[in-house]
Amino acid sequence: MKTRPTVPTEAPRGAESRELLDLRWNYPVFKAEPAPVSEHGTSVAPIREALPREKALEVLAGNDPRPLLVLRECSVCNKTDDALLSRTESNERTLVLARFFRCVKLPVDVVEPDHPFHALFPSNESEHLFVSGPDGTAKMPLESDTSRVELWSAMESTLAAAYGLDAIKVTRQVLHGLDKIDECERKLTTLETRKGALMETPRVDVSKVKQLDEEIASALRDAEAARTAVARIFDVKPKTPAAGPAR
Amino acid sequence: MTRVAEGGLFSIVLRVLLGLALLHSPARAREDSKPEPPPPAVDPYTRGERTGLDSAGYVSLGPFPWCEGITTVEIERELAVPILWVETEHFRIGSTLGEYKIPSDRIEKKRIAGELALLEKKFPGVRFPPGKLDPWLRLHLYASRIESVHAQFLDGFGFTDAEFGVSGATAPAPGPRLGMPMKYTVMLSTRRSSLARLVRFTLQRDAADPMRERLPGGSLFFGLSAESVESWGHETDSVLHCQVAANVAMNLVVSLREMLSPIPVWFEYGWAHVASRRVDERFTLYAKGTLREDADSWRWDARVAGLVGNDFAPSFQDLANDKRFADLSGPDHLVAWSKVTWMLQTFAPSALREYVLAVAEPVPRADELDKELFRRDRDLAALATLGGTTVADLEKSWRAWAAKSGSKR
Repeated sequence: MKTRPTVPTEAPRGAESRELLDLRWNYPVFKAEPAPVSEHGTSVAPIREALPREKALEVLAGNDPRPLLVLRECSVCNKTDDALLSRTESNERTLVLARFFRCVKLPVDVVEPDHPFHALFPSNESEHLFVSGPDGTAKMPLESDTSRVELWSAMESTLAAAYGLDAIKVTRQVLHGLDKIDECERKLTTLETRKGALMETPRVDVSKVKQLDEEIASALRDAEAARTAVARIFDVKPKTPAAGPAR
Repeated sequence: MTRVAEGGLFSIVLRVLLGLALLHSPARAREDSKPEPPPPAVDPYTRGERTGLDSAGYVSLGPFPWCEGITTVEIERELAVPILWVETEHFRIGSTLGEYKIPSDRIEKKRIAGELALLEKKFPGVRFPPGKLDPWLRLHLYASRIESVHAQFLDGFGFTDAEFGVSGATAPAPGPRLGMPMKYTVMLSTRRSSLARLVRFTLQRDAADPMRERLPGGSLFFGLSAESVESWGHETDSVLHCQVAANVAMNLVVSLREMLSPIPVWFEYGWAHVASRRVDERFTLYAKGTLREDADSWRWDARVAGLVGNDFAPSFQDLANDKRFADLSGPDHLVAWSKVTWMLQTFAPSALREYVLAVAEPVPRADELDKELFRRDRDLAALATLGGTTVADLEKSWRAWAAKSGSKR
């Protein structure tokens, strides 16, 4: 069976760790309100048009106070949704840092003059991604061929400004936590697989299955504790307030 | 807007179990790659002509309304990718799937060859390209596959199209589409982002694929991206096909009586597994707790026989207690599949029809009513009437069948 490897990480990660590292993209769509119905019962269909930059950023940020990481898809790239990540190098640091951003992905036609978010990427020459504060301040344009070091530096300085956190230290803590989660998950998977196989084996000794139940319950508790520890690190709130009228 | 109760969990488990959303494209591939050329604007197989469409059994290749207030033209503009459309008798389908080179996997190769031979009859005088499926051909293939799941549902549960959408006491449901007001909708996309934008556009909220949602106006929608399937570690069309069959099967059964009451989750997934495994027994990948490293772990009948022999097989009563997808354990999935398979083989479609209609009936409105309990008891009562016997007798018959069929191969 032909299978594909997953994105490169330092070590093969388990499902729980991958879930925690998952890039959670937002795909905003702006729908203009239709004009009010006239006294004759007719209405004019809303026109698609570019929003002013401030309004575009407001829609992208929503009520989320986290800094922005905005990426535009590109028709030239090969399935380039993720110019952010590398196929050949470890992406763990990028993925950990990205969890502290509101990640937004915009479609290929964002460069068209009538696209609602056109003001953010006015032409094909525009950068492919940028990081900024939630209101678009301190914007740092980045390219798909930006070096990892430059990318991390931009992400980390944005996070330092937004959260006041030491991103290098936090990344190390998260990765250590993920190692622990992986260890728990490996143990749990082994126990559950063994239990499943035993249950399906003809004429099995039932007491062996019951014994495994106890070990599984203990492994589940350990896994939950490890997961909670990492989730707690991610659950930090930005210093800066949500974007308001001062944009 | 009602969200299909189990669709979200189904999606989460898929992501967690199978390697989720971490397959990403190269960061520096931009300069090396060329964009995939868009498919021809005119379908080369029907030539976009009425005679070709009629021969294929199609209503239209678009544009058409997708759901209330939204047309395919608006979706194309919003997603900014070329989308191929087809409206069949029961479905409106969109696809951005690219070309697929048929791999050397013997089972897949044989199945696709058989499907193409059947498809050729719908497109007289047309020759399909050897060794590959182009985007239009993939659309036709999926349209045929999806309609086939619908036909299996009608046959298996003794329904006909004619009895829906008519008034009268004998009509099983008011809507013309197995009870729903609008045709079912299916979107198969290459990228996750296209699907996410479609859901944002139609429902104004976020969802991860695979997704099953009720759209404005009453169309039951299913969407899946090839990128998601790839992120689970599989690139073959077989895996995509299995997911499509399972999800479409679920949408059909949950839409009965216009989704006014959730049907028993064990039955919904048991039926989905049947549909998926009719395509390819190797890829029931979404069934949490059933995946094993062993080469023959796809032989579910043997595994169920083991569970029955050791008295670990959940009973009908146990399964009826499961309320959500997350409640279903590995043995629950295996046994749910086995029980639905047995029911389909053992009982007449007319009896199964009564069962599914009974469990889909709206729950009476009463403050003091424990709805979960009511639905569980209703499930067991409907099972008891299935063979004119008791649930205990039903259990006994199934166990005998499962033990025997598991030792056959």
